[in-house]
Parts: sequence; C-alpha cells; structure tokens
Amino acid sequence: MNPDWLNALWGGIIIGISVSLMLLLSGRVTGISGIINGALVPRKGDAAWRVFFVLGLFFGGIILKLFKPDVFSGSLPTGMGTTIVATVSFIAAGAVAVLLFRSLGVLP
Amino acid sequence: MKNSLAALLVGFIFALGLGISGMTQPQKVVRFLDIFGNWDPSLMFVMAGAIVVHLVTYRLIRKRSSPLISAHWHVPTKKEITPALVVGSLLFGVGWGLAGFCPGPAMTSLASFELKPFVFVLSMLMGMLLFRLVDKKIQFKK
Repeated sequence: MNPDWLNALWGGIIIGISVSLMLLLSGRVTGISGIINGALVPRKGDAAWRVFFVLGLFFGGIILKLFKPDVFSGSLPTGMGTTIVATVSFIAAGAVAVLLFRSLGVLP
Repeated sequence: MKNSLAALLVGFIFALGLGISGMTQPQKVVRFLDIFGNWDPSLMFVMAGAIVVHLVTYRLIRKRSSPLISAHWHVPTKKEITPALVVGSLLFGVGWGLAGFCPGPAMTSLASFELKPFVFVLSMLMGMLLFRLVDKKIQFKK
C-alpha cells in the first residue's frame, strides 16, 4: 500500500486531470459550490450539466463504496479539542476580517 | 447534452481522485488544519498534484479559440478582491474546518449512505437558499 502522501499526490493529479477535461470540453472552471448553487435556482439551459456533474460525483462515490469502501471509513474527531480549535479559528477569522475591512476602508 | 455528459464524466473522475487522495475522510481534512496538533499534510499533496497539472493544462487549453463542446469560454473574469470574496472565503474555511467536508467530497460521500454527509449537504443547500434571501438585503460589494 502506498503511503498517504503518495496517494494524496496521485489523487490530486487525477483531480487536476478532471478539471482540465472540464475546461477543454466545456470551457468551465470546476468550482463545485458554484456549480451546486447554480443548480438550486436554475436558469434555462444552464441546469442539466450541473445536475449531471453532481451525479458524476455521486457515481464516483458509489464506485469507491463498492471497490474501496475504506475511503469512507474516516469518522470526524469530536470532543473538546475540536470544539476549541473551531472556536479559536472562528474568532481569529473574524478578527482578520475586521482588520482587513478596516484597511480596505469598508469599516470605519 | 454533450455538456451534461462531459460534466458527468468530470464529476466521476473528480470523485475517484478525491477518494484515492483520502479527501473523502473528514478527519484528514481536520487534521490538516490542526497545524499545531496531530498534523496530517496529505491535503497539501493533493493540492500540489492538482495545481501543477492544471497550471500546465490551463495554459495549453486556453490557447485554443474555444472549448471543444461549448462555443465560448465560461471562465471567471473578475480579478479584484472584494469584501464578499474575503468574507465568503473565511466562512467557507470555518465550515470546512468544523465539518471536515467541502462541497465536492460531501457530494461524493453521499454514496457512503452515512448520516454525516447527508446532514452536511442538507445544511449547505439551506445555507445557499438562505443567502439568496439575505443577499438582497445586505448588498455586499461583489
């Protein structure tokens, strides 16, 4: 079995190839949240491909579930540590945002 | 129709890449963000692999006058950093760190038929819909 970092690198290369295919075929950038968001309140003629993309993600998941089910084995670490990390990140993010907006002149 | 098939194919390959890279395991993402704890650098290698490939292919592909299927390019043209971009990125990061999921892996993980990805996706869709309501009132500079 490959070490984690090599699997990560291979997976990343495959992801790079898939988004390159999207650009070459459809001329689009593969921004997943944007694709899903656009499917929620669809404009005419701009919905089907979005749904099909998500279906592709799901079918890929089915294949993984069938042949490599351990990729879904990871459970989320919960408990005090996670909560503290999340809270501190949130506060830090907020502080940076305020700092940035002040320097951009958005906040007084 | 061709665009839909292309999207299906891209989504499928993308999902396999996510699975192989380990990014469908939320704890690997959370551990990447846990820099001073039990740090797991995997995500860095995923990004490196994807970015290096796309850096090369993007330049080559954009030399064409148009994509193969679509008549035009649909790549974003905005270059300025706006408050909406910064706040959005920050919020995205917080959600990502809390859940260990971002939208792609969450959609792929629906196929595990476990509860967590379903809860995440449902919450994400509600958030997107909620934003549409709020956005009309806030009028953030985009």
